[in-house]
Amino acid sequence: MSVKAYYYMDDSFLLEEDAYLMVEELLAREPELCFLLDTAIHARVADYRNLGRESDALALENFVKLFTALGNTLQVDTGDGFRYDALTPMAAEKLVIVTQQQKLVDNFAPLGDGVQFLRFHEGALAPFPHGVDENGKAFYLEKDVYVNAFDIKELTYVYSPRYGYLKLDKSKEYSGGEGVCYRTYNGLFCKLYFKKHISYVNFKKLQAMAEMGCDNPFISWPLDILYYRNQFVGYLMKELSAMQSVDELRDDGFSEFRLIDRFLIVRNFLRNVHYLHERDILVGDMKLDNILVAKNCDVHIIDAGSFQVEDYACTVCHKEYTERIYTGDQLKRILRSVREEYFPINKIIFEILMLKGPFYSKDNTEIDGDGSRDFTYPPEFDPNTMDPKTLPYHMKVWFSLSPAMRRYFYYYFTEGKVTYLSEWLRELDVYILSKERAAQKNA
Amino acid sequence: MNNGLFDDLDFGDFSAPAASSTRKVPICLVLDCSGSMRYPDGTKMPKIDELNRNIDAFLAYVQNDPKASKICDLCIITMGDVVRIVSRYTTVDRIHFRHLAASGGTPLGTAMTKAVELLKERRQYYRDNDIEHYKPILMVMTDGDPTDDISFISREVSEMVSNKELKIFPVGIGVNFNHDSLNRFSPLLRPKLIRNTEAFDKLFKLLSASSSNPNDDSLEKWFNNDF
Repeated sequence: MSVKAYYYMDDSFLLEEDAYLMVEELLAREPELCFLLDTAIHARVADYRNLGRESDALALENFVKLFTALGNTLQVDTGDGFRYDALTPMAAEKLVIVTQQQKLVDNFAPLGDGVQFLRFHEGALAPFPHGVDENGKAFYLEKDVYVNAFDIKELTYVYSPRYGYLKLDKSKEYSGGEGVCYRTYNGLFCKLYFKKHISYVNFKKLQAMAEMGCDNPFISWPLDILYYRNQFVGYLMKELSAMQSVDELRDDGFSEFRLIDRFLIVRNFLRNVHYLHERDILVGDMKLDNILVAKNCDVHIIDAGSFQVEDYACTVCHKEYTERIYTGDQLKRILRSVREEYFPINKIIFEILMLKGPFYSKDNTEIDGDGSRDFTYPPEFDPNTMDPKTLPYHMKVWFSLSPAMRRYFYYYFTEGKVTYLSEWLRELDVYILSKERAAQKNA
Repeated sequence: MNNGLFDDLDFGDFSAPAASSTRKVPICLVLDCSGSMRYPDGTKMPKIDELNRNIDAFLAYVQNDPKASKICDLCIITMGDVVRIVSRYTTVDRIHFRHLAASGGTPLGTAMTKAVELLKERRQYYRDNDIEHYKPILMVMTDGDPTDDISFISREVSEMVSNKELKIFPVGIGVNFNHDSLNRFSPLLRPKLIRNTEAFDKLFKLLSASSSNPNDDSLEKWFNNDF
């Protein structure tokens, strides 16, 4: 059979509403094309069935049957989208990857410039957009002095145009790198900035955020700008109580939570980040202290004032949770890429689950930012060299993860290959559901 | 907590060991208690009293700070008539600090040798017990010339600092300390001169911040004068 083009299609595309139409159109246009189906599609069918998404499972099964009936289909094993070598021979001819997943675009990019990446967008197949890797240019002013700030620790009240005068509860202060937080007497929470953060750029950013609003109750979004004697001093947010930071919980070994709860916490955290990423917002200063957890495993992301929103940069970073060390000046000028945010995402969820950092090993117990970043957790359990009963706790948890989750971490920390949030969330859904079902069965 | 759901492999006891999930920041203070510390030297009161007052405040801060009290692993060594281990690495609630008295010489070499020995021991303890830790902090404070040999140990400490195994903060108290000898331990940071009560207070305030947030680099910035 002479082949004009190979079309690799993954489940993310095949589950799009008009995928059948697209396939029909392709066949009409290029009758000699060859479809490539990933062997992972069978696992996906099982996943969707486990999740109760029967229509998605059936849709994928129907595609498998259709492609098989057409007789012009090859199966390829890409190790769940992490390896491209099975596609190398097709790339030498003509290869088109049709997917909605950024991960495939990243991981298959080494196949060469001849490979075309398409996605379903606004009713048609369109080139996959670039961008997750790219740094942007932030709104930046060479001379950015907005006001001569007050000593914020001396203030006893502030003014919000929306909420009026607010008396500060000075009995407890929460100090951070950018400023100090106080409760107000009417149940809200104020962040007042230190002098160097009271800038015009920061004011404009918070103003934009307050106008934009946020319908996710788990994001501590700025509600209004705060003033003192008509001068900008900070912003207002809702108060969160009866919660602990992941930083505290990690040192405490999440002692009040079960292991399955830690998976729920990870899922809730990732849902929040996914919500932000879908709106082109980055957390920026993502670290354990900025994630709060309630007893029911709800997760809140705080310190939204430092998020990267529109072309306003996040001007702070934490060296332990950043892939790249920025200077203070770079932080103000550069917009970080989505890909960069995956370093703290992976590190944080790893720490919540394993209660150890990803670079921890017997030979590297140090967790400083400039320490070694070698990932030494083995991807597979080896019964010849390992005894599950004598493994340290973090390794027991590691081998309790699903093989897919271990792959996600392993490929990220060893080769920098990102598994994007939608895929993480689906895998967590499947995993949590299977554990919950097992619990019901045992009960 | 019951983790029976996760026994796909038979892991035996699968309860989370809370102790080893607590990260630690090891801090070692090597303090000069030589006779010359009896006198004020720019400070409002005798240097040893300034030191005692600030150590009291530092211990109180660590004890009262929810995070520092958990993660700070503190060791105190003094040098004077003899080199004395006031406290091996431990949490602050276990340290019963009695005010230091000033007498004798400045056996800096012996004190630093002891500090390195205890640090190595502690690192092995962390490894044996699966405990993660931040880079150890060694703060050495002296007001005079060393009265013993520092050539070997200063080389060793200097190499450890260059290899990023340790952060050293060398502090000279008053105007008479030997800048060069302290400098030999510290290839990255120049010794910081503490000449008055305010500087004493500032030093321990910044050390307190490091004890609760090991990524806070204010102490380092202050040593580099770009705070």
